[in-house]
Amino acid sequence: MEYAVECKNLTHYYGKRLVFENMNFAVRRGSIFGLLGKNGTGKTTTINILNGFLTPAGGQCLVFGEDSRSLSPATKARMGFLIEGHVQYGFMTIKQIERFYAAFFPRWNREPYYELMSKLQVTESQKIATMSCGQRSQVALGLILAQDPDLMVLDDYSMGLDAGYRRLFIDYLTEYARAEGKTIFITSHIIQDLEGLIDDCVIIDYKSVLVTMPISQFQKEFRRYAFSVATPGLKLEKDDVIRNVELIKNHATVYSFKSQQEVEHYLTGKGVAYQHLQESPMSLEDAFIGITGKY
Amino acid sequence: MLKAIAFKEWLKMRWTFLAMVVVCIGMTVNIALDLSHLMTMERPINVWSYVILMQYPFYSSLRYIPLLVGCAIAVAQFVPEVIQSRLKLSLHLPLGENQVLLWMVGYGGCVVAGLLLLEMLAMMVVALAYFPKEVMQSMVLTMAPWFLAGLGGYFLTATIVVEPRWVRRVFLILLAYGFLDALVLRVAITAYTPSLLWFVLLTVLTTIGVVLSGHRFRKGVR
Repeated sequence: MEYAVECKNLTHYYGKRLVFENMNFAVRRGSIFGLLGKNGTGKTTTINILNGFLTPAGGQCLVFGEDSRSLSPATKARMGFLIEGHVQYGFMTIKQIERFYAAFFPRWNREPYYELMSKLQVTESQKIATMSCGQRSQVALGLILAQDPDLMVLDDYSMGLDAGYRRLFIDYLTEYARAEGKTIFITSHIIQDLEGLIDDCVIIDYKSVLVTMPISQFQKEFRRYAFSVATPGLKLEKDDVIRNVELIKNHATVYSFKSQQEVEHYLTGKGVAYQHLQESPMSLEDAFIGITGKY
Repeated sequence: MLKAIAFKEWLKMRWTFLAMVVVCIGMTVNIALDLSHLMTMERPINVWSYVILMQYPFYSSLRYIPLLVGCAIAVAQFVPEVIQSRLKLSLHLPLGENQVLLWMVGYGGCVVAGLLLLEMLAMMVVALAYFPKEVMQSMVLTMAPWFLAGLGGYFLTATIVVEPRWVRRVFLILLAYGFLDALVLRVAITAYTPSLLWFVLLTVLTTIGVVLSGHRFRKGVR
């Protein structure tokens, strides 16, 4: 299978602080891939490495088979890039910025850009710096769509957006990507928005990769079990069976990739006097918090 | 593509450029009016005597103007690029690693050089209106290091703004101060003429700085 992006044994440090070690993942062509993690776990660092704006301490990232440390102009033309915070040239107007970018991309198609702009209460001569965060996000998205890239790298598209703009962004993106068979590499703080959008994901935590799998498999196999214990003070360590534990007084919640039977057997083996153990359904956000923890 | 880069750079610097044009015109007109006033108030022979025999530099008020022009245009051009790391947008354009930065700095350098050249030509016209061509020639040679400081100031300011690491920025500021101060240190008629070629070479060398800083920015040095 051909991959749009492949990261192999990616390792990075800021000074002596390890950000992640031996991270591996691959993004299938035509898929929507989510890089999920809490703040400070290295999402933007990964995107910077992917775009060649950071040299990793170890390992490598391949974009369309090319090392991200030295991307050729042809490969860069196939990549659309949304910088965190929807950063664009604020000193340009809506019309000027379209004219500027059009000169660089052979497949430039201004239609999706102006279609998005028509939905905003702005004029063509309005400077981007004077727009709201939501409007700027649409400008950035419209420019990426007009570029018609094969791969879109979107760093925290949801930053600063209200629910309406987030929905507009996702709706446009989904329709475009699915219709055109584009590959999307996306990160976001708002996990609930990604439910039903992404095909595959990698979930990273401080210094480590927690999960790399199709999102449907993750949602199917990752489970939450709640139970009561007779006395407070239950001590359970995270391991291959129990991926996370939450305890409030006598009520415990554990997260696991194992079946209920296997978890019950495990708890019994550990001498835990549990009662009323039940599996409870989870949204993607619940599952994300379940595997990464609340802190 | 080159036209698009030039368009972007012009949008950033146009107001600063116009302000610098006003400053240059103002200074030139001021010097011309001063000379005219002197010629009227004093006898022209006395003015000639001051300028030729006593080597009075009637253009000394221009000393820091080219430096101001260079630094102001570099700031107008590159500060918007480093705010929110916008330079990433430019570096992500489908061009070679250093090509986009070279085009940006090349365009800015041409704008600065063009404006300074016009300023020099205007001053030559003013000088020739009142003095023989030998005075004009010595004026050009005396002002040449100041104009080189304008170009060097542009390239060094761009280098300092683009440089991602503060420690290195401080070092570059000190280095730039040393070099530029040497160029505008004295107002002595043709004092720098013997070493002018070296200053030209050093100024040319300053053009490399922004490419090195840009490379460090691109590689994620923080």
